[in-house]
Amino acid sequence: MPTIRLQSSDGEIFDTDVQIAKCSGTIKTMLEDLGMDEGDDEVVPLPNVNSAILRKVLQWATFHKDDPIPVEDDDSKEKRTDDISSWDADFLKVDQGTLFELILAANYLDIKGLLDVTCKTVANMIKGKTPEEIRKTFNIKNDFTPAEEEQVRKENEWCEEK
Amino acid sequence: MLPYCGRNPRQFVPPALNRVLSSMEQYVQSVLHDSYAYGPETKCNSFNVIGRPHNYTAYRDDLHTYMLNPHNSYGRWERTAPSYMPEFGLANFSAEDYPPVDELLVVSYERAVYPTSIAVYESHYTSAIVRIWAFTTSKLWHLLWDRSSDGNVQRLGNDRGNIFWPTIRPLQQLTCVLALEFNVRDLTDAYGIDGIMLVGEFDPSKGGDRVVLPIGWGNLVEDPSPQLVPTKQPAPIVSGATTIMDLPYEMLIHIFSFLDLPSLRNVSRVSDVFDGIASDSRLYRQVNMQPCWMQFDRHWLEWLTERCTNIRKLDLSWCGLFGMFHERDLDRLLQRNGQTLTHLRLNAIGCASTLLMLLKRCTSLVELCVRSTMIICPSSFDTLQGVTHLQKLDLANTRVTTFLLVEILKQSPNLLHLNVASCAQLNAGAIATILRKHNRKLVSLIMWKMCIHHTDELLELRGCSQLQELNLGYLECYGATYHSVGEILADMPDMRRLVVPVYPLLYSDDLRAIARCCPLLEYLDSSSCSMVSSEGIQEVLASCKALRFLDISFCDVSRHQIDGWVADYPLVELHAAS
Repeated sequence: MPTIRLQSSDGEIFDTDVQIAKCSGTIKTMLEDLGMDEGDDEVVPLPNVNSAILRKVLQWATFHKDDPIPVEDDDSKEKRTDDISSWDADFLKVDQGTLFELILAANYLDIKGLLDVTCKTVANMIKGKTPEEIRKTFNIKNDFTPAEEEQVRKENEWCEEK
Repeated sequence: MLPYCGRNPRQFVPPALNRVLSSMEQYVQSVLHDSYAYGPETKCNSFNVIGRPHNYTAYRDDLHTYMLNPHNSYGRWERTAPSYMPEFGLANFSAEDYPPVDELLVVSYERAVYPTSIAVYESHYTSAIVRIWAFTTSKLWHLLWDRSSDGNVQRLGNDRGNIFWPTIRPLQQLTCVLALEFNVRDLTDAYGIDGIMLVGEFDPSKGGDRVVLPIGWGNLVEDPSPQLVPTKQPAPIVSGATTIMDLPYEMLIHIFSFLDLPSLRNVSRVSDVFDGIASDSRLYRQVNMQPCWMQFDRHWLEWLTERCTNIRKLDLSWCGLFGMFHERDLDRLLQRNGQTLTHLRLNAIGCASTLLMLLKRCTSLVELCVRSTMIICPSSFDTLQGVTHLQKLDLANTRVTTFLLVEILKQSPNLLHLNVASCAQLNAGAIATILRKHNRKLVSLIMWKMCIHHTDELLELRGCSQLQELNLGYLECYGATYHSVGEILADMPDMRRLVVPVYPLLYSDDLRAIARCCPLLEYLDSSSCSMVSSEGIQEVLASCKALRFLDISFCDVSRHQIDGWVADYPLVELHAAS
């Protein structure tokens, strides 16, 4: 089975099945457009992904290697957040830092399935929460000026009456 | 004496111990709002829930109930109807917090009480009630009961009728207005409500039997601010160096694109940065506020108006009750953002709506639904400006005038679907003539419960030869000739769904014509056509291979015959009440 060598930002080398690596649109393009031949000993550098995250990404890609190719979003297709598979849900039981790094990696590597499922997971962490609860959950500073805050409060009075 | 009307035997904790409270039972005094398009004007309408139940346990036919008849809206057959219009903008709402609902009934009682018990007198054993809300003196909607958290509701009765008796959540505020949400899509049989008893406690020392009368009350409310109590998720652990603020704009947009509108609105209040991102008009292309009808008010509408500058589809059905917003607030949104709208649904909204204004503001509309909404039609007007793009028009249960509808039809050459059910004021003959001249592409036509002078006027429909769905159920008809259905259908080879219950002078000959002319027929409702006999039905069953639904209730057939058909045609869902 042909493999390629992926190098994480911290220098670790991952010998990876080509079919799995090609889940990533970025790697697929590199292999096809830049004429990197399978079987070459050349290393594909991934300067934006560290080894811990790359290991997770490859774990995800291995499990999902037989998934159908996802179609591009359009207006007619409705989005759902309650369709996360139990394997994915377990896979994403990670701390927030890892979750956001997975989002960044999925975006950089152009892995639509992973990007969608990680973003849905974050969306589910937001749903049904008050603004203050969202701030607490994600450790976000309230950067509204007092005047803006007053304006927002007026517009959203119903939110205050819990 | 009605059974089960006594004191609720369950333990009740009074809302405040320092009050000496009395308990009372009340029945509905008036119906404030009803989204159901097929009931009013004649029997089966929502006014039947007023007062004490009069038929309880003796339902033979349900005409004296508020009947949610799946054969009007097709129940679970609706999704395969040519006229079916799929919902949009709902995917981000979780089914747990926002269960699917189809109809809404809002009723009021004479005296405001602290509710302790509710009993709904139903004509069918399977209840369609999904949630029950109370509008309180604090001008908020409170959830009293929902099916997802309490599915095992006590029922008393039999398959002819029962009392639906949910355990309601304690409420420490006075209410005299209840809202019931129904799921009709899963019903298999007609479902009627004969009465809704509210049991509650009140303070007799306060005196006065008429505490709250909310019909005009809503108009006095300046800032109604209802809210739904959202379910909470446990807060996750915060750790790691990368935070949500490290994500680039496009990533946050992607995350926010999975949020429902209430969550999106909360996000915009988190921080200035989030507010900026959550204002991106791409997040507001398809907006459906129907699940939030109990909280969507003027402030929400203004908030949305600022953001939905590139909106395609908007559904505000059921919103705006009790003056939560007014027509001018809605018009501001349409004036600013209406040009890009292709789909607009304003079914059973609380404020009036001027039909011509909607068409003027939203010139790209492909679909317009204003079912059961008070629409305003001018007595005279200049002609519509140019041709519309309308393909779907739902005016069921509105007071649209023949004059205005004719003008709209003339200007809508691409119209595919028209629903004018329960529009008893319309001149059906004139409409049929216009349809033949200007709307020959029509695929579905629903004229349920319309008034017509003579069935001959319907012969004009022969010009619409592409019809796949024709609903002529419960016509109010003053004259009829034999064999009119057969003649209408003579040149409609694509017909898939035909609904003709109580059609005047419908004979077996008509069914033979159907069998001959409509090889693709999937759904036939000819119930209560007492002159239809077994020969005609036999031919339909034998010829229409695609048939999957057949209602021949109250037709002239024997039980023996029906049993034979059930055995011979297992693919057909046969309804044959007698």
